[in-house]
Amino acid sequence: MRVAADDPGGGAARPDFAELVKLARDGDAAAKEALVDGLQRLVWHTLGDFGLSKDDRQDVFAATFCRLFERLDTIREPERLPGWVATTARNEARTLLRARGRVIVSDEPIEREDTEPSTDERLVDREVRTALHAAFRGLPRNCRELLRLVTAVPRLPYEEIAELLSMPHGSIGPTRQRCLDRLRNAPEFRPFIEGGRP
Amino acid sequence: MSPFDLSDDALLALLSESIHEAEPVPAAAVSVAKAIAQMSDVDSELAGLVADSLVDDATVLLRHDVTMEPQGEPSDRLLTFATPQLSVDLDLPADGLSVVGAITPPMSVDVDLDTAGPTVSGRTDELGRFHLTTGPGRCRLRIHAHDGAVITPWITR
Repeated sequence: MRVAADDPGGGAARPDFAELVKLARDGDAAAKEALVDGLQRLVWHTLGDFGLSKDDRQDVFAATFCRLFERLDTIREPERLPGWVATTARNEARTLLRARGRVIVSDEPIEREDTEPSTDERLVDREVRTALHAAFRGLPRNCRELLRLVTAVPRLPYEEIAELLSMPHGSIGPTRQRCLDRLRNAPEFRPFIEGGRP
Repeated sequence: MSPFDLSDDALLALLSESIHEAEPVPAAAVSVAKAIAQMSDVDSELAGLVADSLVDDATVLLRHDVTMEPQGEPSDRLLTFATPQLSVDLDLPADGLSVVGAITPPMSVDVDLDTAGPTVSGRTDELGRFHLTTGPGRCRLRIHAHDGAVITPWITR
């Protein structure tokens, strides 16, 4: 496992993707299922900023896993599987948009999905997260894309994020900083912080 | 001290949770992905794409990828896949409701069409022709040829 110094902290244990790929290549059903479990969140969230309808997002999600299992034997660096999968998801999203004759609208707001609050959590935490997501939705597309990749689970190394976004590695940090500042100062979120910057 | 330690890392961790909570992965999507994962293609030979009416031929040869961008008005999409043993021509009507095709050399064998939903089964006639009724969406054809199964890549429709 690689740990980049500039990764955000926290997060669950990272699956051993190289081992899961090896087992899945031999037809191990549990390993294939574990790959879906370990990558579903990354794939779904990677697809959040392409202006896809929920149905299209599900279709591209399925397509990404089709590619994964179709090409399992040809993946050269299984330990970098999350980056491979994020790249594939973005390519599949663009393919679908091109097939529809659509272009990605640069600042198209993402749809709000209504979710049922779970009963066992503190309401105040929920309010903060809801406000933060509202602030996130209001960010420019380039910030949303970057922050989605930076907060991805499992984590993506910054060098892979730079490749995914065709950005120089050195500009990821400053751009991240700028986007986080916008987030802190967004009107939806600021009331939840003491002493938000003017 | 604020109730929320707003270091960059803390804000990113909170954002990760917020996104996950506001945009949960639909259970149905996960089920489909797991079904795809378990569709066995062990012992099946993967047929390579040799022609796609929607794609520039030069690009196909370069990329071997059946999800290149379609161009122009909707019409039947014609695809050809091949292994050293056989080739299969597929005609995907624009309505997305059927798959018509023919296997060369001609032979009468079972064929299955995998989709995100139920697999559709059929049999080719003595000229190698088949007609399968299906719904729209991704699919791939499995040909139970006498000397081993052949499978196409997933086709994006």
